[in-house]
Amino acid sequence: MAETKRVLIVDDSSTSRMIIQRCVEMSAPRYGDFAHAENGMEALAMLREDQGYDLILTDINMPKMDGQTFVKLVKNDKLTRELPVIVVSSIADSAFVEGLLKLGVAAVIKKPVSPAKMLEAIGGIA
Amino acid sequence: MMDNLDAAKAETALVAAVQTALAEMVFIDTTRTPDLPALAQENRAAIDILKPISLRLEVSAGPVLRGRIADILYGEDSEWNRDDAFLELLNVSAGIFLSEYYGPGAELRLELPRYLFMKDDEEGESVAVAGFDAEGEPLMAALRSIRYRY
Repeated sequence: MAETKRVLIVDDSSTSRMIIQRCVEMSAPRYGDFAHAENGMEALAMLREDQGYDLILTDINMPKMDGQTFVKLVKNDKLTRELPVIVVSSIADSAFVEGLLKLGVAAVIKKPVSPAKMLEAIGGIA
Repeated sequence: MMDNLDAAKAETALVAAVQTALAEMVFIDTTRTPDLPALAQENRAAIDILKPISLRLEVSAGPVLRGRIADILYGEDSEWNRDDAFLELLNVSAGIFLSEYYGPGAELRLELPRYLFMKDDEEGESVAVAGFDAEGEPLMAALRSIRYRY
């Protein structure tokens, strides 16, 4: 039996975290072990304590540490830079998406997120 | 600041944003009403748009509709998540509004959504306002100009 993959969901809204988790469960059942963080700072602390995550799904607009800063720090750290990151955000204009892709983000999903959008984004990860 | 804003286009984008967010997130159909519903101050949530223009998007709904939204999203845990569910709906509405109004290419920036518990003395002029019937429950959405202070 294939090993269940672990996902870290980063969003200040508990509603958004719940919706994102449900969409992953519906579209990519191999990802079945979820942890949640409310902002980038909390997520970074979790990643430093535990290097076992397989995927990060993060919002951008968050208090304490926004998603762009969080992604930059993840991609500049040798312990985490290979981790695939998918951004799930209510804003996804082209310049914004281009900037995130340059940082190394695997995909950007515009909210409202759906299982179909999630499947397309996760499907692009090797 | 409002010189650059097309009020009619903004109103169309506002209506589309609220209707799309409710339909896609919680499968609630809305129809626009000719009159604006009377909703109490404590039922009003807002999100400020910082770029490309300073604007506040407000959505007001009574406790029955907010409860229904949370029930659809959460099921049995809805009581504790009612406020957050409505704020996330507003956040998504703001993203759709910006896409509808500006299309691709504009640099966009949003504040965090929040409830407005008291009338804000610095509230700016109304740009657009729309009332809705959300499957029997009243809902109102508005755009207001705001001054930005960084």
